[in-house]
Amino acid sequence: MSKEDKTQPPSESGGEKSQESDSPESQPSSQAGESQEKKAKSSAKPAEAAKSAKTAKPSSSAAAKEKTDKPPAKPARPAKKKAPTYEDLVDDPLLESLQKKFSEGILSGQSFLDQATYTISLEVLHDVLLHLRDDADSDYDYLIDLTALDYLGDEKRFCVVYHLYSHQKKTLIRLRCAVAEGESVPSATSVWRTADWMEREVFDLFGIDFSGHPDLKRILLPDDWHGYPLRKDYDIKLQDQVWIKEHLQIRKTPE
Amino acid sequence: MIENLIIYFLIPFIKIGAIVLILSGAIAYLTLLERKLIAHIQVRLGPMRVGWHGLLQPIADGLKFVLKEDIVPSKADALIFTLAPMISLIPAFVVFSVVPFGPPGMFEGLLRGILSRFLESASVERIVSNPIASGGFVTDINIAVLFVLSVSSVGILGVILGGWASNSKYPLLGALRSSAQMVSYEVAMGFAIISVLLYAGSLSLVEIVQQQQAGGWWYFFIQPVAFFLLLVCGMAETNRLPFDLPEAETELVGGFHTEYSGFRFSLFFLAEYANMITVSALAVTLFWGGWLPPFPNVPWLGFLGIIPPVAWFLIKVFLILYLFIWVRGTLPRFRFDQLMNYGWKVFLPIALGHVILYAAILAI
Amino acid sequence: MNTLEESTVLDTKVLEMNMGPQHPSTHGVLRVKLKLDGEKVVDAECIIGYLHRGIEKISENRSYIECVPYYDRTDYIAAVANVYGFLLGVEKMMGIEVPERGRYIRIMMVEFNRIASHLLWLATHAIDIGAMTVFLYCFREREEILKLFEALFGARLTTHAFRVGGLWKDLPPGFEQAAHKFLDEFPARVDEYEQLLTHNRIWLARTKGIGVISGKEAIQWGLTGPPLRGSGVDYDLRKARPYGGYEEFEFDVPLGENGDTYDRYVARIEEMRQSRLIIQQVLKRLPGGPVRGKAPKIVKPPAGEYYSGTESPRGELGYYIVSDGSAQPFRVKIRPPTFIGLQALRRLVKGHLMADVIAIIGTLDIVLGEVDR
Repeated sequence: MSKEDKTQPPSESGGEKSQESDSPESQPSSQAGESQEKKAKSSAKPAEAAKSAKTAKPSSSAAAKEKTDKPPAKPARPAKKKAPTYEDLVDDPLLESLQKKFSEGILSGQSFLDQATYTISLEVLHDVLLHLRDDADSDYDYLIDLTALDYLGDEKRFCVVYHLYSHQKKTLIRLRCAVAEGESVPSATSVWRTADWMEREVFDLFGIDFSGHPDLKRILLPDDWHGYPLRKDYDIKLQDQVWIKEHLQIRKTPE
Repeated sequence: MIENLIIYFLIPFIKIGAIVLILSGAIAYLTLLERKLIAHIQVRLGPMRVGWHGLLQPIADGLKFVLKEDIVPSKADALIFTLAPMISLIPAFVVFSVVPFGPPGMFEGLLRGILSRFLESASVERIVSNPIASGGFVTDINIAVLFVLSVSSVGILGVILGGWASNSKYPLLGALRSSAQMVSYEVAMGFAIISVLLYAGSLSLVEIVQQQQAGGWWYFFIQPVAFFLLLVCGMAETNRLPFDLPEAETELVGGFHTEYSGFRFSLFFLAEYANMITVSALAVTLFWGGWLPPFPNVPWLGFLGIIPPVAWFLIKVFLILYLFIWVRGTLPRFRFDQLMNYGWKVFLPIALGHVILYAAILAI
Repeated sequence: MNTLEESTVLDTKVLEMNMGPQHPSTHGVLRVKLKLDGEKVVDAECIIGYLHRGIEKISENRSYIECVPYYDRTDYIAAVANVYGFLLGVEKMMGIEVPERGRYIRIMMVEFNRIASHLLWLATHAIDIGAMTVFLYCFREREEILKLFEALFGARLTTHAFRVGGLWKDLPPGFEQAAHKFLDEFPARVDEYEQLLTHNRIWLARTKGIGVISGKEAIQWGLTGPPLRGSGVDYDLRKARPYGGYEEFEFDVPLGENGDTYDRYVARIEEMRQSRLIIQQVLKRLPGGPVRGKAPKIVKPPAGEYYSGTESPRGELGYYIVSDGSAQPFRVKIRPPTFIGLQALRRLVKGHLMADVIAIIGTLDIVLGEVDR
């Protein structure tokens, strides 16, 4: 049961993600601006690189560059070192205990460069966070960081990422949770106080709603700003023209 | 008739004019002195550009203040806003009318020399023998100490009014702080002075200095505690670090003068430095024997008399000012409640105990 | 003046006051909305973002190499340490080895940066509390470090210190002597500051018992670096999760006990001394060889994600790098220590006086460039 579950979400792993996030860019949407096109142009190569990463095929690495350094802009060729890949966690006590407790809520457990990543479904997210903090075996008392990623084009567009650290065990883990646009994430402020501003920042820059947050409002941008800048469909040159006209008295800004 | 006119009008007028001019100059250069001293404490040079080693800097600063645009905030109470700096500055100058710079009869020779050309000798003698005319002070009133205390506390009214009239929050807090500070430190300062008065038996500043001469000891050697009390309270009264809370620039931006600029600001600025000089002069007069050289009655120290009395006075005032500046370069700032605690729980009991102790000693 | 009990007699009103964004001691453009009862702080709300430049968004539209100078400009007081954290992450993802000499020089410069940053903190913290002289003394020493930066990097503040794979170039001649000279003089200078502050009664009165936070609570609030260690939690990334070769050096992590402003002050002062020891070890063991390893011209980390946490002078500085295998990062999330630490301001100032707000802002050692990014 759980094994099938695990096989399903490789869509969460790095290689495919990039492909999927690239795919919508190739069909330039009306909102997508220059950066999108730029990315789309270069998407052919990265997709290959991504694939190679997935299949553990050697790709660009330090040793390979020895010879290729002199003729510039030559793509990386054979390498002695293997590029890091996502590997399923084996014999991971935390994964096992989480799966025992939340069974289907835990979608996968992987590690990349020795950093464990657990993919969790939105339904059990808050319980998992509480469990991780309070359970004596895990004891993740410190939320290092909370942020989000935007996989534009995915069914569940956003991915909220938590980095947790246990002062007791001195281990760092990462939690990922896919969130569709419009869905609201249970706030972690009741679990860790420090999540307050982090969630406000994510709300400000991605527009992800956190239910149960005591004071969810914009933090870095002005309160009356429109748009969420860190979304992939928000071009780097895109600005809130109305706001700028009103507050800065600048009549013309770069389109 | 003409003699009275000269004694009570012409000579005081000249003296007042001289004091106002000299004091203004002294204040201007006190700012330079402070900047230079602090700069050297902090391993830097201070003003170096205007004039030799920045000697003309105060003049440049003064010009800048005068030429700046005169701004009155739109929501401020314009009348009080204008009056406040003057209320602050004028008392600081008035106090000097009773501070003796030199002994009575200091200008005897000078007056006699000038007046004998115009008047007959009898009236010259009458003028010269009058202490107000020939003394090294504007006037000598028998309640001089009370006069100094009362007039100098009027000055703080200017601070309060300025803070209130600005109609802004930071100045208001600064004004509140200064009123509280004034109340708490005025009391301790008064008690510190009372113990001197008990010893001297007079309220006249000239008389107090003369008593020190007669006793052969400066009161500093008799009542060092009272001197330090006066000094600390003086720092608090003049809003100097570590007691500069009304204008603590890192907390209240500029305190009571946040909204002031240009000429009006310079009046507050002058008042602060004038007050510094006042407190120093008062401390010198009460404790360091005013114009007297050290140990005035020790015969083998008689050669110190070569230096004129006024110079002694100025040297001592300078030393105390130096102390003020030195403290500023060294100490951090108190917090408001700590300041009040020190005022009421430390300085006041000490001052009170000190007065009682000396009263008891004198009674025995 | 600040008694709440009296309020029944006379009707009092809570005074709302804006501290900043233009205020001499909010260390930049921080705006704190204070609610005051007299001078007692009832509530404080931080309003930030005045310096927001969207560096994370810019990063997504630049190549990895082009990103680096932007991180100079997040925490511009500790630019070297900021660049270091990002490059460590990129190198780790790409498996690039930095030669030993390069690694050592990097550690040395980061520690120099730590001293410089702490000096600036001490300077501003002291002048906020009114000790003006310490301010200029600190700048005197910081100047020496900036001269070293200029000699090696060619810039003093936004240094663009390191490159992928190592350093731009080797130490210039005379650098080691200058560094030794500075390190020999430094302890006496720190003693000088301590003489002016550590046992000064006014300083003690202003810092002891101010902004107390327990270790457990500090973790809850996400405090890191000296503010956390001042509360007695032994969490220094150089020891907890060693990176870049820190495990090869011996140093202590100074800890406080009471978690007040004074303990944080002592912890930082001691950290400067420890950084000096690290630099001395580096200089003693500095090997020869190249300073830059073999790194590709076009930096393309394989698809994946990596969280690279380093101990910046201000606390845990993290770079969460997500790569899709292209030459531009898919996302770089900076975990700025002071952005997260600044939240605790509200908790720390409650019940204190207005003057303490200044002391507490100082003790958190915020840099608004990093808070706002």
